[in-house]
Amino acid sequence: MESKTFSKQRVKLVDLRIGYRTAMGKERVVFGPINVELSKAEMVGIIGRNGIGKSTLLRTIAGLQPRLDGKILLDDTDNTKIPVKEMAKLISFVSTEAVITEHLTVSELIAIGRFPYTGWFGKLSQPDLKIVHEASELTGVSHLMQKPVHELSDGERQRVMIARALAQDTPVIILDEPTAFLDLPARYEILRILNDLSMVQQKTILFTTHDLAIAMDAADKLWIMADGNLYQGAPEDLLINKVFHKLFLNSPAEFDSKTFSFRFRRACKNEVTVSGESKYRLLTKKAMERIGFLAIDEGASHFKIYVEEINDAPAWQLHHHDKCLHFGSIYDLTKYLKNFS
Amino acid sequence: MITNAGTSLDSAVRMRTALLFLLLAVIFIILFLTDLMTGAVKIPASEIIGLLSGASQDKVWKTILFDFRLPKAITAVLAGSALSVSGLQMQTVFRNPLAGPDVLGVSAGASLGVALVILGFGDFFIIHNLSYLGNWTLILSAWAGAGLVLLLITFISLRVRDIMTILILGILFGSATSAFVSILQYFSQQSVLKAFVIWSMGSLGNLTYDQLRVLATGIVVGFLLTLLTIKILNALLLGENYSRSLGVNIKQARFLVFLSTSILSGSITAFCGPIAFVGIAVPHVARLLFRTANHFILIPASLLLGSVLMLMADVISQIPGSGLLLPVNSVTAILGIPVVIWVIIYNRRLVSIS
Repeated sequence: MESKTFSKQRVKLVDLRIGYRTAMGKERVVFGPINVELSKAEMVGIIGRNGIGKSTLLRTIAGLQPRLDGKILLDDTDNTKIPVKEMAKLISFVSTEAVITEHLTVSELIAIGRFPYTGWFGKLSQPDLKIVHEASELTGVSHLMQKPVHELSDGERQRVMIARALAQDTPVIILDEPTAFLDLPARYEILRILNDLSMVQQKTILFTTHDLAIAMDAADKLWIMADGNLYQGAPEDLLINKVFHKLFLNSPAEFDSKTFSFRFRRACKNEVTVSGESKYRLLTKKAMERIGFLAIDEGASHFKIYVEEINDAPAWQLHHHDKCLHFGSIYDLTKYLKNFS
Repeated sequence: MITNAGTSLDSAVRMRTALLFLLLAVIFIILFLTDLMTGAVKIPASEIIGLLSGASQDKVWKTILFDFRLPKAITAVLAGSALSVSGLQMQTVFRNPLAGPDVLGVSAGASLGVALVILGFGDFFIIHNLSYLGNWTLILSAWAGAGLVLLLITFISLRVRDIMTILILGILFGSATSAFVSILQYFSQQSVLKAFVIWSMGSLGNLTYDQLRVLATGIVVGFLLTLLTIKILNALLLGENYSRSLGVNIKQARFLVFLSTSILSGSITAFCGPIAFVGIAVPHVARLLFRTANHFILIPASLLLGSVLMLMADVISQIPGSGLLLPVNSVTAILGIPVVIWVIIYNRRLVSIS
């Protein structure tokens, strides 16, 4: 948009190693080498466990901390050759830091995004004001403009911080956990905004998240950081290649490729056969897995559940040895079965 | 840098800001005149205006006004504005509501300089106590002490990344300096000790026009540097990461702010002695009154409010009508501490960011 020299908006990481250098000159490598690429208008989510270096990677790409070695190419220019003031026009950053300065209004906060374009005294021109206004419209915060920042809800504040990044008018926006601390609707709201920005405004977006389901919904590409490697691909490619499972080595959870979500890894001692009315069967099986029973459709288990429908309401019959018990809710059923697990 | 999109609410806010500035300007003029009137000899307001405009030529009053009260009132204005502005800068840079111009140890450095001269070369100093040379010695030593600390802080700020480390180092350095001053005091004679204690209580008087000219030059240079930092200070409200991603060179920015604040508070400490709490308290009053975090408003507001507070402190320190004179440092503490207490109790949010 703003910069003609950076028209393709491509970010390329070549043999990049990230980490910290101690005062003694020792290197502490966090992750690397990394060889990946971001294309124009692409939305890329980074997923990995805590402490693997997601934030370090973001901060390094944003130019907030030096890399150890390798290259970060913006189009074909090495980012160390780009002056700080020019970088501010190429990449904007939304961090997890909460801005809680008292007496700062939303419009003032967004306007600070114009910093790289204003003169010594930061006076906003008409075009600057227009960009600030547009940024607030795109993120749906224009009704909050006069509100002090510290009175916003978490979701509102995140939208305002994204608006500030938009006001900075950079082709690339980097966000560190934009959905952290938000409730589910607010998370989707943020993802919808980011999606619009990449689809309509042609912004290149790179973000980290722990919310795999949301990332799979929205991202064009995922970077999975696990076991010292960075795997990239469309979410579906990664599913096919079973990359997600690598995230959960040695953890009490496992990836369920049917639901795209994680669940507790449980040792199932008992088997239970679930049959009957199909619309309740799936839920019943899920409940069985929760209490540590392996649910199968057919077979000769000690426990047999038959789901039926009586007067539009579900009912459960449990056959166990010679007994036949009737339950009116899944809760009662699981409560009884827990005695055996 | 910060301007709001044109809404009706916005124009109301601007109106309010303008009115507040007008009101403060009026209070400033009234207090300035009151300060000129009060003292051991009361000069009526009409006479003050007459003397200032040249209409009145009363010799005694003219001497009192032009040789004593006017330089003192001007010093009060310079001290109040300089300390408040540097306090505001420090609070934003350190993201700490309790930061003030003395957190970098600049005042402590000035104290050490003065202590070395008064207590170390006391005999020499006492001889020239009331002379012109003696006064300059005091000022130059304070300036040298402040300058030394400034160099140290600049060196640290270019090496150390973390702003909190700088804050802690500044406090530690201040404590070390105070410890050294205590040792000097312990081994000093009573007579020189009193001279030092009087200096440490702060004083707005005793400045000749020559000295005032030097002080004013220092303050103007400090304010010019401050002008260059306003836009950066607004960006720093978002924290250092955001500032850096907005293209702020953090080390350069810190250097600029530390330089201007050291020149401002170092000069005032050199000429008036350490004056406490003005720098911490005034920025909070400015934020409270103007309800903004925008430094384009807060800097002039702190400047005006600081002058007003210092003039008020000076008027009170003379206990009108009694002929007694209180140390100005005590008065600023009595005026400033309630504000600081209020900040701690009611603005827990502000404290929690530190």
